[in-house]
Amino acid sequence: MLNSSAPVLEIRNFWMRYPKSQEWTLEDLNMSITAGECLALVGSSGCGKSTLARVVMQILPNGSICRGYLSVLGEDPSQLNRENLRKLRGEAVGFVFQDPMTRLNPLLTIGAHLIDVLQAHKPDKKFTWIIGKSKELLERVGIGSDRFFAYPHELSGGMRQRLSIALAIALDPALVIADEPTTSLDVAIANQVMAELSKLCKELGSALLLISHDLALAARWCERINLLDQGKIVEAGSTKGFLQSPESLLGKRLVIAAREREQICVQPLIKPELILEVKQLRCWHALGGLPWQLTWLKAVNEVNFLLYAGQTLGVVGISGCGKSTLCRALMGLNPVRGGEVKLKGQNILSLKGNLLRKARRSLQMVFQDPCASLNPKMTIAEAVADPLLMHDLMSRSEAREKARTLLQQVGLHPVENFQNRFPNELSGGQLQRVAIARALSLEPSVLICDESVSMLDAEIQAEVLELLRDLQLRLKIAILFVTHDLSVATSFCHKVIVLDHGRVVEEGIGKKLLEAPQAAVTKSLVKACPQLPSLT
Amino acid sequence: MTSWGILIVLIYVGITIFTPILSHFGLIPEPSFGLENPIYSPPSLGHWCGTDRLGRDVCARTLAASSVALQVVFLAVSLAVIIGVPLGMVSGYLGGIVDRILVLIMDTLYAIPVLLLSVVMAFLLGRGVFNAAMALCVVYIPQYFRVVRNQTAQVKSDLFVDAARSCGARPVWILRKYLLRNVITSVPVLLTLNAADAVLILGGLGFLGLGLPESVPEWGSDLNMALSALPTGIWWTTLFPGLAMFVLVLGLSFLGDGLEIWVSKRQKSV
Repeated sequence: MLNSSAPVLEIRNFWMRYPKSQEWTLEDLNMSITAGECLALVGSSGCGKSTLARVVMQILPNGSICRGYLSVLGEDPSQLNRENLRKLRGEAVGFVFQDPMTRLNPLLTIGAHLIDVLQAHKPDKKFTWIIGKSKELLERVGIGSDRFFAYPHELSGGMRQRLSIALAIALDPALVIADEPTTSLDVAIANQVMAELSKLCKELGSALLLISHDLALAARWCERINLLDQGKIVEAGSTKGFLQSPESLLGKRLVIAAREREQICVQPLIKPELILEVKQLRCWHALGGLPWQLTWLKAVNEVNFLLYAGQTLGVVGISGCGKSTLCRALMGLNPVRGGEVKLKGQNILSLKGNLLRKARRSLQMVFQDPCASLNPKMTIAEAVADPLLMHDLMSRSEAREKARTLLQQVGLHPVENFQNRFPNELSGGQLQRVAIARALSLEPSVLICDESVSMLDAEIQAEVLELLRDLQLRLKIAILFVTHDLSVATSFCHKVIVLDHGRVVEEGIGKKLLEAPQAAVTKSLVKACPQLPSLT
Repeated sequence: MTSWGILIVLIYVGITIFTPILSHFGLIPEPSFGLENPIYSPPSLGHWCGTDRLGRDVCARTLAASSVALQVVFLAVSLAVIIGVPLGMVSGYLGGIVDRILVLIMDTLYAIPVLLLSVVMAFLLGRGVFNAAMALCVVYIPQYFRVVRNQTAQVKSDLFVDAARSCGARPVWILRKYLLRNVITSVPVLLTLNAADAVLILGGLGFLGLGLPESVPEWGSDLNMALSALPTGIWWTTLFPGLAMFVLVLGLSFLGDGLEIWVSKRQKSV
């Protein structure tokens, strides 16, 4: 129906402003996608990526101002009447949202979701055809038609996103817009989902507009890349060319940050001193059954490792492998069913009461979500000073002074600008710095970082990692670095252990794992690991 | 609406403070003296709101009664908050058997109609300002308990509580520093709405002859006394105490609604 050279989506000199906003969200934007093409739209958060997607779908709030040329399959969506616009959404443009759970109706089965879409757009077709088509779509995205009557909550995150894709391609749209489709998924699953999405788009001949903040993801799946910064396209071109020689300032910064992340800069240990020894640690949850023959979920099963002062140990695995349970067990948040945790030669699992609290002081944790791990009703300085007060280590004014020095140490200066603010007034990267300062306030010898950087933008990730590295050198702390991202683990850690179903399946130097993985899980992690293509 | 509420409540607070002072200096007549006055005299310059069956000045009694009512209600609601909030937090935080028992007790109390419960309590405790406050506060404890307990149970599972635990905080520290500030936001709304409710209940108790001692001027008992004269066309003895009660309830309700809107707006913006 279309010749392949005509653009599916064309935007020329486009300006857009939200109601009640003084500034243009999109400024003088130019871009086009031809049929069957894969275009990545990359930019840091708040640059207007999602706004662009909303413009194409015409789902803007009332009173938004748009100026310029916009055409989807030769028609301007803003000029269409209601009926034709409804047809455009879905039939011409399919949309894959970031968070699959909120996009699905929890009360409808996944089959009902598909039937609903098909019925709305193809009212003349017979019901049996619609059922058949729905099942075919499910098969196509790899869910299997036997899950037809399953509800969204019964599916895993990856499966839900697959369903989302099935819904987007149900009507063979000429353009599929995927807005951060894999951000909420773990690496291995994200990889599968992206592979599926790009394969399906190739099969259908649809163009794919991938909106992402992740340069490595974009580089892997798209031929062309557009870099968006504060509503303006600052760079457009082939992905390969961009990665080799970025022209714009932002492009250079992004590429350097992404490369740095992968660069291995691990300081060798000089005189290692054993700090933490974990022996045969078991964390089992009872699943039910008779009291004398319980079935157990072995979240962590006989894990052993040693951690030296100044060392960084990476713990890698796909989601659900027991990484978080391990961290929480070490912090005393999850019950332990056996084993030994020796902190400076003292088994902390046999301690109780005040002795335990005292011993735990040298074991601190930085959580994944910095926003959720800080009390929303406490100012930044209070939050950092609080651990000192709860252990009665110093007076209120001394603690406050110490908090200020710590905030300075983690790079939040001038401190006066931050200390009296509340967590919701800070950005993600700044909050993670606060969380690190808080963890450091008790002068721990071991710092546990549970996915501490995975929720941050690539650039900020690099900054936080740099901070951790710097603090480690200065304070000689040992870091247990938990992540699902093998490339970060490799570049950041002295040694990496790979967990699968609660067991350590492989351990060694990160680089070796990356080059010659042995266990099946490691292999799949290496494959999924979003790395930039090498320059040579 | 909210500003009306604030204005009304402020006026009543002013009355509470100034009535004893003015009556001390003889600027308004003593509320329980009436031997020298004519009985059932209609509103006039001498007696702005007339006099009642015993010749007591209705205006003075109404003013004095508002100050007493406000004191009792303030005492009752504060007691309810002081007892209900910590109980709710402990119950929500600890969970398990303690929680079950407390919830059972509170739900049982909650299931009994408010007036019935306070009548029984007032009867058991006898008359008196503090006793009336106790009778009222028993009614309101379950409300604070439920709201605070549910919110605590919800906030307890948030990551920042785990983070505090992993820093080595004791339960009391977590309750005080981390949970209290997060669960206390809904209490002011409940507090003002309950205060409005408590004014009515106190009036009801007084009407039944259960609330305060006879020597203390009170709207409820005055209304009861005035009721027999109402069919004979003596309206002033019922109108003024009734009106005072009505306006106070209205003001507190306005204030409560305004607070609720303000709190929910603030929560949204966070």
